[in-house]
Amino acid sequence: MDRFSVKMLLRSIKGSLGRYLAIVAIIALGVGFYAGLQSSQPAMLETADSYLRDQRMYDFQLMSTLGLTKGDVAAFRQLEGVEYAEGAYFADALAVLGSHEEPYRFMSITETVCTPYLTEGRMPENANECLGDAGAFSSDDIGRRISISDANDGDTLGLFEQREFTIVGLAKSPRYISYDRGSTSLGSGSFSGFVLLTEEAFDQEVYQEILLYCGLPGEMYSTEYISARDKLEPEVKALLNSRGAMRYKQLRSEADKELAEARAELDEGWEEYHEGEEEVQKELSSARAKLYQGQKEIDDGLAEIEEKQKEIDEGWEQIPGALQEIADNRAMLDEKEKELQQGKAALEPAIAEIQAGEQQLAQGKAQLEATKNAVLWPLEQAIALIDGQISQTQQEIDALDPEDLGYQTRLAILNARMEQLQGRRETAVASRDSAAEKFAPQEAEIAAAEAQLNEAKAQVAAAQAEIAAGEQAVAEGRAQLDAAEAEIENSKVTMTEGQKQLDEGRVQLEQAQRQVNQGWEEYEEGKAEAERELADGKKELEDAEAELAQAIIDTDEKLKLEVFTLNRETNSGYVTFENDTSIITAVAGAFPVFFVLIAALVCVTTMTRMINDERTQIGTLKAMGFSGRVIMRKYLWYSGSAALVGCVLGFVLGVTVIPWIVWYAYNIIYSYTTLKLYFSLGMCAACMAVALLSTILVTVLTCRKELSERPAELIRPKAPKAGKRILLERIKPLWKRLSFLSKVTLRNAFRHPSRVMLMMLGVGGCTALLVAGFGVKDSIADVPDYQYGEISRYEMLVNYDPDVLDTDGKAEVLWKDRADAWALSYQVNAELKTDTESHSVKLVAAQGTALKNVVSLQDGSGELEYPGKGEAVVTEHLADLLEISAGDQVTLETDDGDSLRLTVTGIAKNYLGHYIYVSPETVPGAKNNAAYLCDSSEDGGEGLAAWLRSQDGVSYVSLTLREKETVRQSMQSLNMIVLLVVVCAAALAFIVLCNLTNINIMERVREVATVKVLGFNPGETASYILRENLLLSILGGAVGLLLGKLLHRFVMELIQVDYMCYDVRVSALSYLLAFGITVLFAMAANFAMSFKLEKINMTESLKSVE
Amino acid sequence: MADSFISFDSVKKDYQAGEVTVTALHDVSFQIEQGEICVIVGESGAGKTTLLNILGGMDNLTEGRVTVDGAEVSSFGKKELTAYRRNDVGFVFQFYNLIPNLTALENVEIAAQLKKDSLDPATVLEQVGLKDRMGNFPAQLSGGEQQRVAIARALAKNPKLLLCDEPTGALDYNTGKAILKLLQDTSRSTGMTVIIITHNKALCAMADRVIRVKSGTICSVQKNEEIIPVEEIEW
Repeated sequence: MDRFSVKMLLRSIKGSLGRYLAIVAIIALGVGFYAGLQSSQPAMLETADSYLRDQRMYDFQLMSTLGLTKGDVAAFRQLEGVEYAEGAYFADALAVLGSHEEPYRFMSITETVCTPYLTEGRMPENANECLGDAGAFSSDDIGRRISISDANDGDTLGLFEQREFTIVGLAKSPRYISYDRGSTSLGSGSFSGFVLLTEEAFDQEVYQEILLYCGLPGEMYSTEYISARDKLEPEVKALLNSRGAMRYKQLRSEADKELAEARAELDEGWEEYHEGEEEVQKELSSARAKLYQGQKEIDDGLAEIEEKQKEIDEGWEQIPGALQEIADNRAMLDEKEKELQQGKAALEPAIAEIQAGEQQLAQGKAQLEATKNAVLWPLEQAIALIDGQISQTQQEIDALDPEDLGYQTRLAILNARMEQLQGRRETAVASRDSAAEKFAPQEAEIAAAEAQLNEAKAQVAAAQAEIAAGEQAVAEGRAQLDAAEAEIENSKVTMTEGQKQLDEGRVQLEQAQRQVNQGWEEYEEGKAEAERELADGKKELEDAEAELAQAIIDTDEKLKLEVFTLNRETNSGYVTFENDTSIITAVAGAFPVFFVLIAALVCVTTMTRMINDERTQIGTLKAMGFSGRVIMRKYLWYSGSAALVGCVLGFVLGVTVIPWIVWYAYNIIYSYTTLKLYFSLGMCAACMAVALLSTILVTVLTCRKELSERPAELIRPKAPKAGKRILLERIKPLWKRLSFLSKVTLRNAFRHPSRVMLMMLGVGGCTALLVAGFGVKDSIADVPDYQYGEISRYEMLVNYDPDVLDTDGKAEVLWKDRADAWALSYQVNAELKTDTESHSVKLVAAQGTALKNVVSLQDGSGELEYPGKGEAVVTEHLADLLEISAGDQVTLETDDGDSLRLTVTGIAKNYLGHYIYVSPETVPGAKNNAAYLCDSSEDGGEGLAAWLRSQDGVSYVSLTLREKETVRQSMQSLNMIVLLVVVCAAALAFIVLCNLTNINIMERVREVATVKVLGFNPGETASYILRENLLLSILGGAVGLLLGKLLHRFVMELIQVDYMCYDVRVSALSYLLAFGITVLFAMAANFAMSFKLEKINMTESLKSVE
Repeated sequence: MADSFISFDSVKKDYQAGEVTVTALHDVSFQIEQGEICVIVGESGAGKTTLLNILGGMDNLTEGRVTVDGAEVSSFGKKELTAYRRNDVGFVFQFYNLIPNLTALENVEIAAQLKKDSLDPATVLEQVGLKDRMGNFPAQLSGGEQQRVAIARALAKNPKLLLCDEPTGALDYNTGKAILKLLQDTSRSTGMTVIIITHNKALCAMADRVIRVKSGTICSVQKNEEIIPVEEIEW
């Protein structure tokens, strides 16, 4: 380009700056919007992805009902493909910060996986310190103390080593990239945030979870990532299963050992008890025996005393008689003594006679003896000599030895001597005996005298003995009497003594009796106490027995092994982030098409107008000999430079501002780090190419026609475009009725089809964008209102344990006084199957009459009839997914393993979740386990819910208020997106309208001047021109409404999710709003343009036509 | 003189072009009586158009006084000027200035609907001899026919004053003559004051009064005693 051309170009641009800027702006808008939206999701994903990588968000989260050990962690660390494995603790508890008590999740700080991102303060250094959730705490909270509330149950409190922590820093966790902190059965039902503690702060034996970071390739959500993860998952699962089984075995044996020990201990206890019982019985009986014995002794003692008393009394009575007898006996003895003295005296003469006889006899005797001796002695001598010889011979015989020679001869000699001796001795003896016999008569006379004397002597001795005996007896009698007397005296003393002893004995016995009585009392007391003690002991043992039984059951329960291999897709933030960002992609995919079209059209009209304006100049240049190519170059440079500037401007602003706005919008939900801008050179080049090519193409096409004309024609003014009748005029009755100016407006409006198109597209596009934008909001934002306002009319859903709160009204008592209405139901997860497909669903079995008050089952036309036995009502979205319609047969398989064959009788409207409603008799053995409650109190049921949560058997209470709030919050970001759309739509409408109006006015300056001269006042002049705009805007708006409906449907289709059925609809208000805003934009553009009209000088009308 | 239909009294008009003030008109004084055909003639740049602008209520003046039918136009504000243009002035442009996508009839109607006592557009068109072309768009009409439509448009408003700016400037000789004839006839038959601004001195012959303009001021105001019918004028 030469200097001249540059000058011309610059002057052209300066002269038509509005026009130039229009191209720049529309291209900037188009490119910016496109590039911005296109780069929003990548930017967000990249930001999220690098954040998750930096913080090493887990790829797998492993959990086991039996906990995970350090050994497990080590095992996973060994697993190929796992980069980091770390165990972690967590515990959910109510905690107090300041005066608020709220539920928090306490987690241990992990160092290799899922590391916290410190935003403020420092990391905890000991168990007393913690990091607070940056989303829940503010910088002011640093240094404050958060303490675990006493309101927690003991189990929970036992999980912590510490009860109070100082917040030393704030952190974010990659687990929570959204604001959602999950739900809990504590407090309000959802966590207020998390608190990160050191491992030491937990008093837990095993880890609750193991987090694995595998450094998998690919960006989050990418198929590369998913396939890599899916490849690794079976191995992780297998390892987890085997580790789980090991853990189970170990725990089982430990538990069994413990149980056995407990059993043994208990048995010992029983034994002791029985022993104790026996002993007590024994002790009691011995005590009893002792007491009886004591009683008996006392009784005996008393009897004895009585007897003795009697004896003593008798003794006293006998004493006078005894004394009399003694006196009598004494008299008798004295008489007897006298008699004896007399007998003694009579014996004296007999004794003297006997002494004389004895002297005579002794003399006779001595004479006889002397005669006898003299005769006998020689005889006796001879005998003695013979005996000597005999004994000597015997000795010689005995000395003979039978062995010696001559023994027989000697023996015979000796024996013959012996016989001779024997005969001699016998003759000697016979001679002595015949001599002795001659003295026998003398000896007999002496012996008779002696016998006479001995008889007299014996008579005297007998009389003497009789007297001595009598004397003896008297002496004895006297002694006896003395003794008796003494005895009586003695017994007197004794009796007195005895009496005294008896009295003493009585006193003693009375005392003994008292002791015995006391003994009985003591016995009874002791017995009662012993019995009580025994009963207590027994009770204790029985309790222990029950405890043990429970422990066995509990152990079985506790030792149920279930392992969970979770991946990121169970992380709510991770999942919703994808869903939410995909909305942007959908928007990004749909909307830019408009902008390209509109940009092209703006370019067309602008360039056409410009070339028409410069017609004469072109002609002149051509006439001067410039080639068409050179002339065209100027226009190419004009439009091209505008496109380039617009493109660069749009791209730069687009990729920075729009993602930032979107990020800001999503910041409400997702706040974890600052946005990383995404800049794609390819996208930039593509934008540039599309922008440049389209403008250049458009310019070439527009110029070519003009340039092909001959210079002569060009120099002359272009014949004004002929007026044309429009279609509407054919409808005479209508046309006639229109006011004159309306006709003019109408005809003017349709004079330039391309402009009409542009207007329609621009304005229509604006309206369509608005409709879609508002519609998306309508469709999503009102879902909770519909769901919880029109369909689910209950305030809360209470899940309870039917075994605790069984069906006989125990559950209902809980809320009877506080809930306005309720319906009991049996709810269980199930799988709904058609012949070809299946989908998970929640089965609700309830009485139709009760359910009616809390859940509205309706299709578009009205209330549905509640299904009877074997029938079912299915919710809409599910019916759509499975292509079910009323009358179809479906199979329902519940998680409990039941299989039901059902006939679908109706399709009910529903937006959140999938349900199938049946009557209770359809499900055999259904036990109600959930209740829908209506509570019209002002707190929306919070109070009742909190109370119910604290009740036994109530497992979960979900408040619709909360759920509504949750959805609402996430809707807030939608508002930002909608605002973005509205702003873009406004910009679009404004650029198009201003550009078109500008062109329109420029083209019709003469006309405007003329009507002004004709006497149109400013208002009329403006309306003369701008009414067309308004008309076209309205028409464009109308088209846009239609277009918007389609666009909205398209967008909704793109952002479809499974569990949520959007109410794909655009509210009348949104249509109205979209239309109204469009018209408002149009009016604003008109208003801006009316100043331009004002400025048109009437003298223009006098100028010649160029 | 005060009761003249149109009266200019010491009119001065300055244009401000940046720092420089250009005086377009000065010391302009003249009167035109009702029902007259007045031709204002002068060279290019003499100030004809400025005069026309002031008379047509399209521009203000700097000094002096202008009255039309007893109303002091020079003192009018914007609104009053618009009303003045609307009710009292009919304008015929050199290039007709018809609205291209309105038919002949509609072009007349657009003016007629501006005023209550306007004439029936069809009748006016018939008067200007376009009875058969009423439904045609300007592009389908010849220059003369277009100018007739323009005249009809001006007349339909039943104005007090018909202002024509070089009405024949874009027309060929014969057509031009025919248009002038139409203007003369109209004036004669309806007694309408017609002011024709032209550089063509030949037109002076058909005027009741001729005002010559030169270098921004009036050099002569002359009552024509021998009016020549348009057919006989030659140029």
